Amino acid sequence: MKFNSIEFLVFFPFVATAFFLIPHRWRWTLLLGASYFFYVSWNPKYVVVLLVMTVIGYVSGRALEQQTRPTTRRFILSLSLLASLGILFFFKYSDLSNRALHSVFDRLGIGYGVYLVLPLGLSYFTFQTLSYILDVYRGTIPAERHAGIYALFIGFFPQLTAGPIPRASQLLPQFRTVHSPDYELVVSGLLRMTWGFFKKLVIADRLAVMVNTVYGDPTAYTGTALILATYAFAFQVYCDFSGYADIAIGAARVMGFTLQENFQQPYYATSIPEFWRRWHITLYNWLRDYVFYPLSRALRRSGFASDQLLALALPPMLTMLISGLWHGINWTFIVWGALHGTFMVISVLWSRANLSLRWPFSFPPQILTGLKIFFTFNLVCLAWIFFRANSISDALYIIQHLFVTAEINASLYDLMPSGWYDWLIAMLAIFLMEVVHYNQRKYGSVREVVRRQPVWLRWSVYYALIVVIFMFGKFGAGEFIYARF
Amino acid sequence: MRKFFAKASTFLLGIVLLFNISGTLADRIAPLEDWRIEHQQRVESLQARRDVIEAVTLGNSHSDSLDYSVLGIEGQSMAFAAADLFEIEKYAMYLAAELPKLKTVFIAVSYYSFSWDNAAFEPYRTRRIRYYSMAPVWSPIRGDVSNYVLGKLESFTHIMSEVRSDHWLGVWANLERNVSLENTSPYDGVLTTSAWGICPHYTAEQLEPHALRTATRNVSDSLQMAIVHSRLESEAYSALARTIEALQAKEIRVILFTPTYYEKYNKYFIEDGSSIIEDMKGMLDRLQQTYQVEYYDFSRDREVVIHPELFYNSDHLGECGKKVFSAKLLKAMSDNTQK
Repeated sequence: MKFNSIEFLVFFPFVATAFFLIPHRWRWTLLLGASYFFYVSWNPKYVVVLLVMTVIGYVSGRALEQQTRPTTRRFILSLSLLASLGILFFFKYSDLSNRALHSVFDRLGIGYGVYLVLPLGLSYFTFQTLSYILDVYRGTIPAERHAGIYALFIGFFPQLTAGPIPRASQLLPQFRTVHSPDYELVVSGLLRMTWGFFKKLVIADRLAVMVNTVYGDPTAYTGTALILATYAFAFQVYCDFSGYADIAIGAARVMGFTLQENFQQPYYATSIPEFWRRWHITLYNWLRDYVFYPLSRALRRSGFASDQLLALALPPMLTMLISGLWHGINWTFIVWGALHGTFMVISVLWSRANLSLRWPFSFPPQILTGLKIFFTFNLVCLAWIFFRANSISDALYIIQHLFVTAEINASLYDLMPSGWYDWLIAMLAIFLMEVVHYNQRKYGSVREVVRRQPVWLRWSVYYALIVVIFMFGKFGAGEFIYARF
Repeated sequence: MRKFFAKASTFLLGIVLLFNISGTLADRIAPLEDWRIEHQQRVESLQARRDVIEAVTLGNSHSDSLDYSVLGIEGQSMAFAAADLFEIEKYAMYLAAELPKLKTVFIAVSYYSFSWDNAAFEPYRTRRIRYYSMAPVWSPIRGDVSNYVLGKLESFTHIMSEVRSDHWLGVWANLERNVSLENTSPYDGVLTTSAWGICPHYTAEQLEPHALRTATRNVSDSLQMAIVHSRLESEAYSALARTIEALQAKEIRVILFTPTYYEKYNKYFIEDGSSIIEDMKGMLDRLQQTYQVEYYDFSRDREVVIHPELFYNSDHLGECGKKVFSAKLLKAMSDNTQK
């Protein structure tokens, strides 16, 4: 089931209402059942993968807690990591796996008509399982004894298919807390969900048409079209993914749960490291805690001083490469990760060397910040070209032809189904989003600003947002981009 | 909790009211789906003439090939765009109970009728919801409860009139021009005088790309629907079989027919979907044998397929084509009766 489906509009109110109507001791059963129903409605067969991953995490956690001998614990850890990552790689390499399975069955003379696809949300619940196992191994959290609650932690439907990737220490205790219906939380959650739908349906799916057209056959375009498509993709991917996070966080909030924020206006970052502290925060934190820090420590233990080039460059580069690989086994993602790794390394080296640009005149701080934001945004967009392109050669073509022609020609309107009208809606919607972003920076929470208004104004805002979504949203358009990973 | 439910109900009521007003206004200013308006008119006409109607046509838009003035029967088409056999079954049951003088039901069977299920995926699923919202049927098609609920909800919330495929561009344009048009997408064919009279039709140049586009889409959608809905063919067959059985039990004559398609449509459909046609013929043979139901296949009528003047577009007969086709069907029916 997709968040942007009619089924979800029926499913969610039903689950949320039932959640508050039944006694606390049965709520985990309801949520677990609803989460598995949510998953099964996508593809019933692949629920087995979710179940297997849940069993691996649960059994490993319990075994790690019971064992005291370091060698046994290490063995259990290695086995569970191998099993979890094995499943992840098996499906991520589904093309290769399909060919291997078919060749084996062909040799055995058995007809085998199954073609594997990547199970929805596999990368998310694998990383969730890995972090749980590693935390139990490190002793930072106790193993969860209740198999049902653990299964719910892995399969909790708001975050199941595209994150945020929660930590056990943050989410598991919430399933034991008694949640009473809270009017403010419900309204705030619903508003957050509505905002997510706005970003996904009005902005992301509208821009997707134009991006898909240009990136589907980039050699047919040059200059302005390629630049516009790349900027459009930057907004599409942000609105798509952060829209999902808004819906997930909002849905959880309605029922009283708190999921970690996944975005913090990333395109306002003044450097690439800052961008990564604002973009896909839960993945970045995961990689930081389980790849970057351990690797840095390992390098130091191996005798590398913290200011040596390898000790400085290897952890961010490797972390970003893994981030690229997490998205898919594809050269475009690897180059995307490598590019971000390179930007990170340059940034680290730059700040270590305490370099700063010397200008013959001084910029006002706002202008300087603006320039930094603009520069960072364009570096991110450069990397997005590889992320979105169908192949490395497509990406290279786009980069080579970005500035071939600069004039805006009439055919650009044709890149959207309704021409200028679609452009106008997209621009106005992005403008509205930026107004909200501005208010968030200025006042902290837009919800709070709205909450202080008289009821007629408050409700008018809610109605306007809903009507705008229904009037200008692209319904039935497509999956969330990050649900593919 | 009580306070919350009271507020939530009031809020939802406001939304419903807002959607009803704006959706109805939008539909009046710039109607988008002609078939919906046409169908509403047909329902009204049916209700007004319920005591005299002797025949009805059911099926998708291909069913509209019949011209009752040529057939000389008091008839009414209740066809609507992209209708599938599951929807037809429901509608037929309703009409059989509703029309006291009903003697004949014509059902059009297209090449892909047995491999078509609107519930399979978008945008057809929206049509299924529309069908429930418009058709006077009071139970869902088997296994289709969610669409049924949404369809019945739609009939009083008008949410789907709010969600317009033109994203309200047509409404703003018409408001600006201060006009209330009945049709925002006028027919782009030509009007010529021929041996059959004054015929609005597509030219050969327009028919060729239309045929390629439509045949390819119909074949591809049918194949995808068969993937999404396992056992689709056998279930669609059963739906039509049940329809025939129920109508025959009420002594209503059932006539199945396939109208004529433009030659290029046939060519392109056969290129990609010959197996779909073979399966359809096989199913119709079984139905004829089991229920002795009449079936008339004019899909490749040599006297018609080559004349662009007779085609509204590649898979729909135009006004002149309908007359020609209806005359041919009438003759085939009377020949069959004499046998």
